[in-house]
Amino acid sequence: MKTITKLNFAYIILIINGITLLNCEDFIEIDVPDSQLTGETVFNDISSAEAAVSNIYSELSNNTLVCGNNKGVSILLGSYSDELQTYNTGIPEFVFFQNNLTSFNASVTSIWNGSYNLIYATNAVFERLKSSTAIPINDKERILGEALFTRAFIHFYLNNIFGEIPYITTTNYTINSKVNKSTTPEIYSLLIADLEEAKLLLASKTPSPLKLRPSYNAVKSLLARIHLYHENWEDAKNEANAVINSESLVWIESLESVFSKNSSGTIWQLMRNQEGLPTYEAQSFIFTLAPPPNRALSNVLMDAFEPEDLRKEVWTGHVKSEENIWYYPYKYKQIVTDGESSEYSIMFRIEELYLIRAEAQAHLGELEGARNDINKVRNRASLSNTSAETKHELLNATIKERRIEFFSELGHRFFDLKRTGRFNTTLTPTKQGWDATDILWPLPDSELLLNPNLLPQNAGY
Amino acid sequence: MINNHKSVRWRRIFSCNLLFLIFTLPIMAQDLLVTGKVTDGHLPISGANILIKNTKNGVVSDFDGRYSITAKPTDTLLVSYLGYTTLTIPIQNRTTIDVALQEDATALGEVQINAGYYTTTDREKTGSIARITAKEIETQPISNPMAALQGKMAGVNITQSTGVPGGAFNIQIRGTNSLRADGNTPLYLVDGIPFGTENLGSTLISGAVLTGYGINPLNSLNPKDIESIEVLKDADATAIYGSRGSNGVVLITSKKGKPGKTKLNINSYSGIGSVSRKLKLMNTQQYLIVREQAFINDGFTEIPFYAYDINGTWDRNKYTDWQKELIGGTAYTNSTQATFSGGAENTSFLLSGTHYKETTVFPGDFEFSKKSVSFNINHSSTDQKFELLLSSNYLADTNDLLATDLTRQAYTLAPNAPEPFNSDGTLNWENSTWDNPYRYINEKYLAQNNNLISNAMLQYQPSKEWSLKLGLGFSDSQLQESKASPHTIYDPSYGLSSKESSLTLNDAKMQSWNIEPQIVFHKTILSGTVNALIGTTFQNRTRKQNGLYARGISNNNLIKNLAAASNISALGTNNTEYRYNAVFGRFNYARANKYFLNFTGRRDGSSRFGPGKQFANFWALGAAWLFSEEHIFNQNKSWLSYGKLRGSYGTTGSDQIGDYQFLDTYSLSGLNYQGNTGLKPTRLFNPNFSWETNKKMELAIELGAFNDRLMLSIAHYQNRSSNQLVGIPLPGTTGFPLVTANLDATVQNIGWEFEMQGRIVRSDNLNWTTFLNFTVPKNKLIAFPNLEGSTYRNKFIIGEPLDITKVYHYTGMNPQTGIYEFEDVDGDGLLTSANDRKKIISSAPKFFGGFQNNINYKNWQFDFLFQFTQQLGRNNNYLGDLPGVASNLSVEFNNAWSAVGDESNIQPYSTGINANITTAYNRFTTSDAAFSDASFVRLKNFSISYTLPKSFSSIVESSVNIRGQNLLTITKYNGPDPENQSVRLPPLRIFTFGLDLNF
Repeated sequence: MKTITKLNFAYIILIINGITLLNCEDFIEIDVPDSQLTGETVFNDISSAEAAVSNIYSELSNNTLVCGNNKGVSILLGSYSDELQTYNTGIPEFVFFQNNLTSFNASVTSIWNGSYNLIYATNAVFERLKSSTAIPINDKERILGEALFTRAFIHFYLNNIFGEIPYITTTNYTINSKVNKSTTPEIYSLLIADLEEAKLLLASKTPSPLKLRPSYNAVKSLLARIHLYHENWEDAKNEANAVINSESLVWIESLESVFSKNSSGTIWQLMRNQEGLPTYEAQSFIFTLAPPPNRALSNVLMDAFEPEDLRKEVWTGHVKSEENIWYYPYKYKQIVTDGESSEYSIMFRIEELYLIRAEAQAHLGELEGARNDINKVRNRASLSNTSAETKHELLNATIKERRIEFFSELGHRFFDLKRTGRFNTTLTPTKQGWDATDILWPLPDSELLLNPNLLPQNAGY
Repeated sequence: MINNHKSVRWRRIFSCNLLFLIFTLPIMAQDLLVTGKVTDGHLPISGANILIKNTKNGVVSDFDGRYSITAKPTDTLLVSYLGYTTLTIPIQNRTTIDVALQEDATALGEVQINAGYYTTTDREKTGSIARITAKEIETQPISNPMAALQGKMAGVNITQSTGVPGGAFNIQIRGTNSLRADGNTPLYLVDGIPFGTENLGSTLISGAVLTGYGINPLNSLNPKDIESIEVLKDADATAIYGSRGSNGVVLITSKKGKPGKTKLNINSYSGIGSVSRKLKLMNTQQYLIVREQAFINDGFTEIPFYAYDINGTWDRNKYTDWQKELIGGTAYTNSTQATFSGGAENTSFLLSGTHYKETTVFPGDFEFSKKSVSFNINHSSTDQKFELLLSSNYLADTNDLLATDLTRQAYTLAPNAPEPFNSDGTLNWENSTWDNPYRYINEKYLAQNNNLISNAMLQYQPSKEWSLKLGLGFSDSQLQESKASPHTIYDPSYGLSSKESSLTLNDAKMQSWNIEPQIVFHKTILSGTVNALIGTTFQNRTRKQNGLYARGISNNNLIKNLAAASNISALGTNNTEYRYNAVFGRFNYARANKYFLNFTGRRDGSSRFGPGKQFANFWALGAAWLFSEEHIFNQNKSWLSYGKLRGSYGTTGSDQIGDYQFLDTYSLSGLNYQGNTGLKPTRLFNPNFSWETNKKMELAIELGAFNDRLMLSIAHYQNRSSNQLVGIPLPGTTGFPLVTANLDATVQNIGWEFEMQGRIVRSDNLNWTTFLNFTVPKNKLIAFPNLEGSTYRNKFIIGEPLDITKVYHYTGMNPQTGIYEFEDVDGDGLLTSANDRKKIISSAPKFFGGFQNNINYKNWQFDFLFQFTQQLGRNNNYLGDLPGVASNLSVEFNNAWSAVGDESNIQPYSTGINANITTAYNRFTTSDAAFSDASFVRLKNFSISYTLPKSFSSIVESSVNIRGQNLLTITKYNGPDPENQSVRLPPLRIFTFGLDLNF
């Protein structure tokens, strides 16, 4: 009897041992889910690496910063400056129209967060792809170039909207959560550095079909724009020159085709999340009812068109009531979903380079060249040559031409007013809520709370 | 898939039958055959246990109370039955022994309470365990077992979110512990097997008709197959479930066969259900006044062409009660269950089949039905050394509904809206002047769910002290959901064809298995009893989900056929795996029947955490002192018959954060670029996070007076949940709003729980027992670093409960303009959401409870349950639309302010174009005026049953019953229903008539 108990006891000790041993870490190791990919595997394969980059473009065209709906600058800065009039008090852009932003504004926060999320994605592409050995060198360079360009492109917009901002070049969140603001000269040199590197990487690469990815020309166009904004006229002129003379770009004579997706004057454009959909610009701007349900072109803008300007006829649409007429941007015309899209959202087009060169040349005293470039844009719109003669007149003429040529596009108008110091004189009379401090948007309140290194808040908020 | 399942099931049942045959071997003959009858003095007691003392041999009395047992002439019989005093009767050579048992006032020590890995009794328990049994579940005509718990348990707050069949119940055990809304689910176990309640459904498909994520998984359990539901609340009871016990544990035990006469029980009921509470809406005249005034206020000189409801396009004299038309139908319920059970000394079995069907109150033919088969077999060897328990539940349910809950339409449709149908029966679109709500009847939601749970428990007891157990479990759920939207749900004037019809599909499966070996030890040491166990668990769960969207259907009759669609797109695949491993143990020491000490612990490992963070330890210590057993009380034979102090302290945890959060992954964004689907970084990569921990403390006193006729228990608990897995808020410059990590935030739940039971009358013919439970919970956020910078800033406030809303403070109407006004908290002259929504409203219940009575009079049995809650809730001011738009309103919006001096508190109507009125109204809906008292007392359940006298039939014991749910609601709430507080279908009032036959 006793031996049995002993034996039992031994068994039990054995089993207890077994149980404790069974508690093993191996069991709870699981494989990566087959519906997701690890960061490492994404960049070991060209098509998934492409998918990681192209998602950044999708986000830009659909969800933030430069998208054509009311989450992007075309509408928000258009309303914030003097391009668009808001007719609906319930939509987020109304406070932009009133120039009544606060640091709690959801659209501001969403542009900030959305942009930095994409900057994170570009940094992730850059960091991971650099160490990847599985991607052919040609593709690797091209994607690295695209990532650098996109990082600069987003920072450039943020810098112009918010002023001094952190320039983020790593995915490390412990660093990024305590980051300081970069000064404007620092941002400038970082932008130039990124773009010069991108230029090298993209120099001999074949541009993507339909210009759906940033190319060598896109890098140079952004460089031209940045140099212009920083008043480096010589560099601005040279970069613009290089783009204008590029063989892959052809000036389009017909206003109707400028925004077509096959337009040869387009340098970089973004497609929607699905082929066949209309652009967000067309969906947001075009209306058929009076009064406008959401937004229309402002009267001051409509008054700025010269009477015979063909762009008013081709690039705007209108709805009439008995007493009134309202205009909307009609650059993008496709409004219904189709088998194939006829337009994509254009980020850079050749006309901008002509006007950049015009402005740079005017500053450099090359007045004839400046005049020619302005006339190139005017003549297409059935306008006679500009009457501007002096440097000062030519500069004014460029800004006016830019206003008409790029209305409702990507905040060009607001940035022009800002960089040329015209914002107070221009906006104070036409915009009731305009204050001098409105030149910068507020930094999101939550951002300052979570990272006091970003203090101080922009003036006026 | 379904066929596959059936074959699995049949194989299982077949093998069970084999086992059954093998184990039903003849029992060896013994010296003496003792027979007799067990009664309570008058009536026979069936199911009484007759055991030979100091052996494990025993039998159970049959339907007529008869038993027969073979024993030695010198043996002693122990005769026991639940709720009766156990008798010890020496056989003394007799062959006939009739036994009359006395009802035992103090049955506390007898009722075995399931504590998961072990059982205890009310008398000996050191933790907090609430319990309901089949007896109480059976009196309720319900389909979701959670409904049976409503109002029954202190500390357990259950609300029904919709009256649509298949809908969900929200259950909270001692409050909200996690800051993540989806991190507060209790752990459910069915016969010891974890039951995954993560929904497999897709809101894309079911969102408009059901709350939560579609059909609630708990609907896959059949209430009538449940023997008991135990809810474990404090650390002592839950720590043995370690990481998953943080939000409480719900143990569901299925019915088992009992040795004795083979019985057939047939239980059936049919009933009708209707919406329990209607809104008082305006009639046509009142509505027209509002609308006309709105246009006048907005400066219209004539009614515009688009105001079809008042400009004469629609009949201005027509009146339809849309609540009656759209949600006023009768839902028919039908349930039939047959249970076949029985067994011999060593083997028992139960087989039951159920069919349940419930239609809806909506127009159209829709129904929810479920069919289930449940089987179990229990066998022990003659020497009682081996024991085997095998059980299996299979349930298939089909929820055939319209894809949209029509309640909102019923509340808002203009009372003079047109006839829904033309004379030829087609939908009437009244020349495109309205969106006919009956169009939704054409849009079908269909969910088919198959659920199999099966488990086996093997036990070997080599000696009296030791036993070895092995639990094996397997469960499989499959859900197929679809929403078929034909183009006929749109106005034909759009000229749409079936090219615009679409079908959305969701196909999900979840499979899990677990293995649980255990060693149990029981011994008397140092005049005390030691109960101990140690065990380990391995669990694996895989989940697969696929969504499809098809459009461009060639013909609506083929809408379910993917081949007929011209365009099919994938909505994403989500495949996950979850593994779980633990060692757990319990050490319980009881001494002198009055001191109890219970130590439980668990070491858990979960695949949801990264390397090095997967394991954590949880433990609890509980103690109880039965002070009424002390000499001083015993001696004086005082009125105090039972007194116990108990307390516990310990930790539990939670890993409800979703799978793979620690991995550095890219996921599909769903955005297509150049024909490529984009990949985006899923999150910031941080593998260094671990468990949420919940420290629970409880102190309780339990008292019994007057021979336990009055029982009282008061418990106080304090739970602090910290290390919250909400993620650390990060600035946007990091690319993400947060990084998954343990945030040093703490949520506290403190509460008082009172439970009282009184046996008011006890006599031969009349028994009346009453139960009262009452809970006062208090929830509070104690700490949250960087709350102001996080995405939770508008949601939480430190020092306040979690379910708060920040609102404007409504200060009344401007006497000059009649416009609503609000407090300008920061005094800047502007009302802004950020600075002026500072008033805090908590909609958590202040207290809740239930009051139940069971009355037995001769053959009659009455049971009724009142449920009560005191709380604030969103009222009609929030749930309605702007008064003046084309939407019907509650009658309280009649008689708006129109001129200075008016007494009205309703601001002038507007059609939405008056910015002052509209803005003020929008603020009004987010002000404290949109909340009001939503307290209620509800007659949750009522049941009368009558047992037909024996003379009626000698072979069948039968009873008839009339039962009801949600019969009466007393409330001041000015909203639809105080329980679900939304424009979803309120819980239904149900009446049933039923029959119970025992052969």
